[in-house]
Amino acid sequence: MRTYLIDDESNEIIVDLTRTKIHDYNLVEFDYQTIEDNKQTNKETIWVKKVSGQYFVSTDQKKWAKIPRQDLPSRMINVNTTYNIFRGYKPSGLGGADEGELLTKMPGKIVKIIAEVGQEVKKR
Amino acid sequence: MMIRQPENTSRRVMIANRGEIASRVAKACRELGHTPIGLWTDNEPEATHLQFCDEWVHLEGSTNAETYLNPEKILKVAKENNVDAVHPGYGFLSENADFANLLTQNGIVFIGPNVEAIKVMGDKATSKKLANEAGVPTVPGTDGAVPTVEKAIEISNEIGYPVLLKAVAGGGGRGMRACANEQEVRDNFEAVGRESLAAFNNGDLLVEKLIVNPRHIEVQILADKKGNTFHFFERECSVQRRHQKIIEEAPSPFIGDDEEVRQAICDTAVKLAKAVNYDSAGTVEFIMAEDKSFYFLEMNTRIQVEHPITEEITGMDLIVCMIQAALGDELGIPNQEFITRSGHAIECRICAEDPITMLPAPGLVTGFETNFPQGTRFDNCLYKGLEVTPDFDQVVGKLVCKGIVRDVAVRKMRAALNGLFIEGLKTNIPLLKEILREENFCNGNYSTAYIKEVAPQDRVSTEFNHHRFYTILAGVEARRMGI
Repeated sequence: MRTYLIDDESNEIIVDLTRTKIHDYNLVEFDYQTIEDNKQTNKETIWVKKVSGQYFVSTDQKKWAKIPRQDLPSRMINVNTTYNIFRGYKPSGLGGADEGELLTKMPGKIVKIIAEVGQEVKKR
Repeated sequence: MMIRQPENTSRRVMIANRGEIASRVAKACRELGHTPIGLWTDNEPEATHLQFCDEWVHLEGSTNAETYLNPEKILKVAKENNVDAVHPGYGFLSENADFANLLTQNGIVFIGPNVEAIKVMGDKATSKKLANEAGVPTVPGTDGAVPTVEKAIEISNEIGYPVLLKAVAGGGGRGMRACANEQEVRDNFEAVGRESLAAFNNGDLLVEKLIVNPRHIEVQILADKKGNTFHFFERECSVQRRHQKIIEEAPSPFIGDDEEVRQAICDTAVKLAKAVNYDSAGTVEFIMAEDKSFYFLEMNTRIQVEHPITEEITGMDLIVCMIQAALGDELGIPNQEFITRSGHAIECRICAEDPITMLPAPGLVTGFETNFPQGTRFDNCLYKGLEVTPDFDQVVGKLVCKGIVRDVAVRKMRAALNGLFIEGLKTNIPLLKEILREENFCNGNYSTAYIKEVAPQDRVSTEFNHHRFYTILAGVEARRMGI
């Protein structure tokens, strides 16, 4: 799953969730990486564990840190920069879609694909 | 000796405020057996403080002018709800003599000082005059305009250099020039006059002694209606931006072990409070020079934002005492010696603002958790889903840590800041963390020019923190998966 972080000046950071592994009812493992210039960087494995109703994260399963409970926020802050968050899609007007990506006009759900592989389509 | 709880008659106390101070007052009311009545406005139907109030009353309107700054409307609501007393908190109408008078005339107790004290201390010129009459030192200089450069030089020679040439109508740092000697006064007098005329349409100047590397030190006062006036020692609030405090501590690291100076400044504050017949909680603010001489700045006739650090070092509940004083109850404080202090307390104001520009940054709180060291106090109005608007002050919480000595308090505060998670908002937490690690602050060696001169904001790293974002996204995914 790809998440786009786009700041007010349209600078974009792409974060990919590349692997998810559920270990237990309260322990799950995620692999993340950042895409910069089409290269994969900053690969990290993050474990999330729920203890006493609270969420804790770790990179080595020894040192754990508490994190706030939250649903997917519409924006996240890095010190003094606000990033708008787009999970799985990138809204139009914020740059073109790369190969293998789908560019949508707005948050939405694909209900039907009418083009077939190899078919030429024209802009209307 | 113990503080005896007087025979209590439950009163209905309305809190004409919001946010953390409204919660704080409500808790004090409940402790005393009174009924705290909280107000909510059209734009804050889920105000945090309501959870601590026994009764919730709608104050119609959205803007501050329509609600918390509207004396007539607050009076109307108070009368409709058979309120015995109103606590104004801080800000809004807390130092408004007309509001206090309006309540008093309608048989409602204003939980604050008497109207006359608010009036006298609310006016800078009158309060300075009263301070001078009471023998309380004020910054040496002229009260009115100096007509000529020769007169300015004569006064400067009298009060000693450096001096400040200052526009009578000035403000915000404009129309001011420091002069180190007679020649500089001569060189600058006309220029500052012209600048003042252009900026304020008034070229009149006054001369004041320039306090080099000043410290902002204030003394907490508590007085009752029976003529008792006590001090609760001092606080140092020199870490400021745009003349607004961001870190306060008690006792003052600058005064340190100098008990003679401590006694002198506290006694002076009591003397001033007595001179104005003060009868509530209040704060006398001073500016302290490098040689530890101090000068009266102003008196705040209300509870201060930073009152918790005084509570931490004295063990006294100032809001409880304030309510008791206003209602004419016994404070249960037999004498000044009863009030003692121990340890060191620091308060960091957690503000919804950019940590580098320090400008307000309203927004939605998407996540809020704490993981504090033992004994941390966090007076706040935060919850997940809170919309911080530009309508109110950007302080969203006050983080208070106490240690047996200052180093321990600093250590605890670092840990507390690391254990405070506010998501969705820009906050000054990165700046506070930087200050708590900065050498001058750690040594207690800072003046009111700290932010300008040391500039800890320039050291705040803005590098994108991949790990932090991964952990937040991982937490979100885990919740989505039902973990």
